[in-house]
Amino acid sequence: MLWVLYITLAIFFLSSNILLVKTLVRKISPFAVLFYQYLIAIPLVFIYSLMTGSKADLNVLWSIPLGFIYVVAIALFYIGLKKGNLSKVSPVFNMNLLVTSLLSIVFFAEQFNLKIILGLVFGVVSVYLIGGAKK
Amino acid sequence: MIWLAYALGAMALQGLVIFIVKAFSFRLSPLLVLLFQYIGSILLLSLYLKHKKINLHLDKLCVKKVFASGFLVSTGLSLYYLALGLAEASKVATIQSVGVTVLPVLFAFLILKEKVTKRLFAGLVFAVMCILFLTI
Repeated sequence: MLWVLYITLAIFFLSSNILLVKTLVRKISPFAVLFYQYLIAIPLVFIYSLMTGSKADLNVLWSIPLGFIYVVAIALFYIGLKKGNLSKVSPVFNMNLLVTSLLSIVFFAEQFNLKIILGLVFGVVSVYLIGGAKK
Repeated sequence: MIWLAYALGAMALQGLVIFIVKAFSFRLSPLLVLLFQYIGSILLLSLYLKHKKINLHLDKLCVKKVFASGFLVSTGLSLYYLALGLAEASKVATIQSVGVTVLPVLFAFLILKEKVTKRLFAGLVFAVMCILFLTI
């Protein structure tokens, strides 16, 4: 269950970051924020990789185009935010859990039972209710 | 409704990225995948910034905040990718999405003493149910 500890800490860090980014984008471009985040992230993740003894091979270079897709996704999200309300755009974006889950179930033959289906349904409803609520 | 097209595009691509990370994690270290993903992202982003001539100037307060944000996002994503390497993507991605939606609401309620509406409360109950079903 080590993954539960990792994901709990990840949620705490990523949620804290959202609060910080909200204050930053009032002063500077969201794309500049992303640029500086990546600039700081690269040496940090390199250090984390060394600490965990990660071994590289040439196949890891395939992750570079993955970075292109990732940054396009974030850019589309920001443009969506510019053209619509946060309370509408954010829940739609957070539904990416459905895409990942469906692809994983189809291609990796991941477990797919009533418990997982209920978990997914509760997750989607929760994101819709909280993300779409007027604050 | 143009926002919906952008939001749906972003949703589909983000979901695809996490699926590919899971696929890579069978053979590669998730942290190295994240490292090279960041390298790819900064390359494309630099081109965009140059093309749009976006100002990168920061004042002193912003420097501290940007540094903190870089630390939080990279450490958070590192842990997320490590979790993806250890468990099913359908569980990890769902809990992460629910968690990052719920936690800011809890922060607002517990720290800022903001009101919780019926809709928000129902959302929190569903979030707890989701996490229970996927982890126990």
